[in-house]
Amino acid sequence: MFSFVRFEIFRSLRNVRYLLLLVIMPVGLYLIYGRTSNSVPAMVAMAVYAAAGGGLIGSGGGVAEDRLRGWLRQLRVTPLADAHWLTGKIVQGMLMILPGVAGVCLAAVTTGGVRLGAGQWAGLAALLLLGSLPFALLGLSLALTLKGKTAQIGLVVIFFALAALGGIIGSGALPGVLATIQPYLPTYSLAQAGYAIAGGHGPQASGLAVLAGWALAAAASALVLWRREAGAR
Amino acid sequence: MKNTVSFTAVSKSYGRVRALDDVTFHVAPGETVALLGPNGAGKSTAVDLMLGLARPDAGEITVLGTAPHRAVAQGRVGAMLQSGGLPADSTVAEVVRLAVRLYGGRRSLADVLELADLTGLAGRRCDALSGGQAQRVRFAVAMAGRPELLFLDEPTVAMDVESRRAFWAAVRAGGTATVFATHYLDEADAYADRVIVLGGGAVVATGSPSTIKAMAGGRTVRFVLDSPDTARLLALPGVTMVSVHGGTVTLMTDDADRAVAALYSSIGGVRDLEVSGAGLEEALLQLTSAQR
Repeated sequence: MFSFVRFEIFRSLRNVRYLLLLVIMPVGLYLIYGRTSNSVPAMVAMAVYAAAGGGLIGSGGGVAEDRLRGWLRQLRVTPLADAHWLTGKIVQGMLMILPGVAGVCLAAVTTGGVRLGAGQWAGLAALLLLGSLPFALLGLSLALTLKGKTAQIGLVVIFFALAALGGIIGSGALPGVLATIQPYLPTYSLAQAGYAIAGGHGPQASGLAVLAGWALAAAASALVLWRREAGAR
Repeated sequence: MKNTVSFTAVSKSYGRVRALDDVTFHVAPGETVALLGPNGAGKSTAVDLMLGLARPDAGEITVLGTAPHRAVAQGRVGAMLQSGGLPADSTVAEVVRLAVRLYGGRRSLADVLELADLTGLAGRRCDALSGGQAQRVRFAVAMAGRPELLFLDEPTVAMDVESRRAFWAAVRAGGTATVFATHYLDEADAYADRVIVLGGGAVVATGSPSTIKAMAGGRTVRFVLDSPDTARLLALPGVTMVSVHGGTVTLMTDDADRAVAALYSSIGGVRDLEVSGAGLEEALLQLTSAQR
């Protein structure tokens, strides 16, 4: 499985779209808007951007195309077990957040004058890694539902919708109904937990519960969809 | 010895389409078998079932003495699927290295690249390969684990004649017992020890390539003879049909050897004799159309 994860990561790193969308964009946005005012929350927001996007697109991005091209079928006649494939894709999705998150934090420390304690950095890192899990599972579910380019576009659209509604990009001020669903969005919950940790206090249990709920729901749907895919012709 | 593949009373439907209907066949150890038939005959379905990619609705399948998915999980079979593909953004070497590792390093990367004639293409990205080259990469993936049994589903479909020949030379050099599906009749004829003809989801015929040809009308014997006597020619052993155009005689026969021997011994003056196979193409057409 290790070889498989490594193989997949090499593939993704070669993907220019990935670098542009999930490393250069959040670092750039931070450099443009973040470092002047509210340096710490801006860093957290952009790190969440990288974590959510990396999870969502990092794991799901290639799957839809692999399905279309027949690479998934080819893999299924090798000794790579289905469970290992699934685990590998999730691990890959979670690791794919690292370049973006690290880039944003580095920019914040070097240009934004952000200073946090070692415990806070560790807490943030753990939060973002674990917090990318629901996104990775969501990405897989979508990639197993949609096909080819549709899936790629779908993932990007859903990512930006979640980012905007969750208040990571834009003002975060939402009209009416949208404001009431905002606390139930994984992007919003992850960002709030991040602000709390960076601010020196623990994250709220309700926010973590929302993330766990998304992770469970997405895991269940990924599993069901994968079963269907595996049984399909 | 146990069969490498036993495929017993297997039925499989996709929706309302009955892809296989009570099909039984076996593959003996070391044997290379062709599944031959037109599109929609059930070949790919049979291959999918033997690889555990689908489950039969009825019947039983064992591969190398175990369930298909187990044989795959143990890395004992290699396969090239018709619908299989390669990831666009990886290099040939990366894909083959992954395969080598997934099979537990039973062959070295260099060996596998060499085996599939890919050494010069190792650094090439998979989306920059020709059809034949991509097929060789998939062959390398299939052979990476030194499989006991190789499944090839329409392996040469995207290749020109030259690449086809080279491909089969590589399969032969690999020395692995092979089950392959094809609708190229000359391919079954040239490379299989035994041919299983599928038509409309059923086994229509099975036997050596020459048996299959004989079953479907056998061979044609053509020669020149002064004043041929049709009745006498028809009475020769093995002859099923006679046609005469001027001095040129054409015999249809189900046993060309006996017919020709009798021709020389009992009728004098035969010149320019030529024996040709009916060709698996014609054989296949006859066999599968007779089924319907």
